[in-house]
Amino acid sequence: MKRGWNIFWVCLMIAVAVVTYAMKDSAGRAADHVMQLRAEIAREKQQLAVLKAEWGVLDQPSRLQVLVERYADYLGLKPLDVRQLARLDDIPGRGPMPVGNGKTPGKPLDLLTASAASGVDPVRTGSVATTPKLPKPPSSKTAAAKSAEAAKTAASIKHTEPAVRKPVPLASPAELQTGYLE
Amino acid sequence: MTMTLTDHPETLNRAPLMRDDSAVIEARKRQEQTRSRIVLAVGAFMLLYGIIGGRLVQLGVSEPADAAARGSAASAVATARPDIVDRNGEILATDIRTASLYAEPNKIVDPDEATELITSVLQDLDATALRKKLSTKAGFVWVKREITPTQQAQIHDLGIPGVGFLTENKRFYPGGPAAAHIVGLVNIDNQGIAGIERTVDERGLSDLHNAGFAMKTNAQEPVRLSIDLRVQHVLRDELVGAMQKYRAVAAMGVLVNAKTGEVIALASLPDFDPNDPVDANKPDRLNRITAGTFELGSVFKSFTFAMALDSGKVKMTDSFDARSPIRVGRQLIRDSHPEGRYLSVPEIFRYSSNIGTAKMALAIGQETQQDYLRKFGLSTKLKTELPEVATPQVPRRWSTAAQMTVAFGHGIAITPMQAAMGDVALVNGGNFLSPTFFPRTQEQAMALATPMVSKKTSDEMRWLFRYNAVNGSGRHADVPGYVVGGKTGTAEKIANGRYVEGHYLNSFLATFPMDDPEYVLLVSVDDPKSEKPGLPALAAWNAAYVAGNVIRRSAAFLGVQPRTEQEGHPDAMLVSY
Repeated sequence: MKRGWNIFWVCLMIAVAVVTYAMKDSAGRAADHVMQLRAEIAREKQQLAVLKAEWGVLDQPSRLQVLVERYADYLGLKPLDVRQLARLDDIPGRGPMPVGNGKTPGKPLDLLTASAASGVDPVRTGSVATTPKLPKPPSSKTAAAKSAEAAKTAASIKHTEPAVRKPVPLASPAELQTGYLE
Repeated sequence: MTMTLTDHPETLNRAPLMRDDSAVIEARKRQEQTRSRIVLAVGAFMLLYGIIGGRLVQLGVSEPADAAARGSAASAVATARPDIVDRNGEILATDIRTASLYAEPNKIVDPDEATELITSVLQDLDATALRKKLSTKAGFVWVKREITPTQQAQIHDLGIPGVGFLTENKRFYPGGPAAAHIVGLVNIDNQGIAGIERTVDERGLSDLHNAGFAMKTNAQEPVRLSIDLRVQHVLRDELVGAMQKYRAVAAMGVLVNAKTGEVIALASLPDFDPNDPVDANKPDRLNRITAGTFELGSVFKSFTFAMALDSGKVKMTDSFDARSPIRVGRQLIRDSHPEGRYLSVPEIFRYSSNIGTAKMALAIGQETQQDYLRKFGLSTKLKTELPEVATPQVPRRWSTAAQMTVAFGHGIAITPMQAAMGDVALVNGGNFLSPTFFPRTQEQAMALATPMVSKKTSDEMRWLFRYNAVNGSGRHADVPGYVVGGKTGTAEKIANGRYVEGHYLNSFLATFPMDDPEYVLLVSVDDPKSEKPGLPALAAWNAAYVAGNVIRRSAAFLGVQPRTEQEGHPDAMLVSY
């Protein structure tokens, strides 16, 4: 009886030792991984800083001006004139326009549905004199199909979301940003 | 307590006792000895564990990061600085790590091969010198300081034994001289020594360092300035052009938001490249806008008009006798374009009559004039964030002559920034603001503002400025659509204590759009020559053109909406408010 107990205690001790060692080992590996990630983040940040500085050099107005002056003739570039600037309010408003079947103009939505039914766009720009023959706008049926498709893709995104999220806890940024390598 | 560690201490002093007694006594003695030994052992172990436990508590209580932080602080403090960005987030100054290539010649196997490989990447290195350097038995030599990341990668990929890199932090200014006088400089230890870099240090970055924070570059928020890099470039570019076109000695300009007092652009030429500041300390490279004082000439008349109108002693409808020059002591005050008649107040402004302005100053009175100068911030030192600020030079003795010359901007030397800020208050409804290089909203600015002149005076000044830009000397600065208003100033320069004819400091103080002023621009060109023979070298023929060009090119960036022709008429100024 006493011998049985002894064997039990020895086995338990070995088991606990093994578990402890496994925990210590995995903690060590995790710490190594953290170090590695921190080093990687530091490198990436370094790279970002360099790239930002480089972009700062490339985006300098003085450099752009030289380039603009060099290619002004080739690209037909001209300085902006004050007269070319206007507010949206300065554009004269459009008068009411009859819809294809001669009804009084309704709300924008009515105009759209009417155009979808008649196949003619009621919106006319000033530069187009005659009734424009525009390509047929998408009918309500295809629009509905499109929205269904969009819903489907949205659903599929929702479906794959957990799979995407899985590796996130591994690289939790809140912890890693406190790196001391920089 | 003495103890013997022998197993049989009794053998040393064996007493001649009875056999029975001695056996009993011996047993007791042994018992006592055993007990004392156990106590000793327990005590020793308790002491040992006590020490270990105490040390554990000590380690647990003390901050574990402390030691590590102290070790890295020495190197980190010198290097980490926040980025400086403009109001749109464009980088003006940043830290980049540069690698420096070193070699350990005693570890290099084949110096010839190493030399060949290194020079294949760094072609500007002298191969013979490098071979000689690597052939020695030295422990450490620099091969090249500050190489590019690409070169570093290439050399690293070559895998030469005995060659390594050390990284150093270096302050980098992508714009070079674009905003040199605003951003400033750092020294070799990355400490700010001029401009905003120094202000950032003085504002507590060094305190943070001393407290053990702010050691990581990425932990520091970038410092956002009120500068707009695009407008800054336009201003500097136009001034560079003006220096060449008019063969000027120097040029300077500042653009300030009239509603908030934020400095949008500031340039002073000649300037320097902060990346290579070899000539940053030359006396002609100082920031003339805040650290230089000048007699600005007729630009100053704006302030005399404002104080005359605000004091109520002069009305817009008044007229002054400008028929003959005024003689005061040795000095003769005359007009450069004499009209030789009575001039109304707007006409004095338009023709920039020295005689008329001097008479207006006499009408105000000396006390009032000095009070107003103080109120306009023209006789006291400017308050702003830049460390380089000069104190204005006012007349030591306020004689009648001084009173009259100060009225048209002679005998008083102020910094151009003070003139710009005075004008800001003249056009924004009379609220005097301190210039700032950091973003602030209109509400924040108004909370700090002090009333300078009345709203009515401000409206009258706006009318005068616009009237002058339409009919007077400011015509060349007017940009259709942006309703520019302003005042020219051609001041004779002083050399060896005398005014020299033919050498001028030409300024233009502009505001746009004049119906609801948003920005104030001051441009000065130092000692310009006439563009073509026959043209005068006066402010209206150079500074005004420069100001007009700056406004034309930058107004769209600044979000100023173009006005129609009717809205730009001087008389529309008064009704639009």
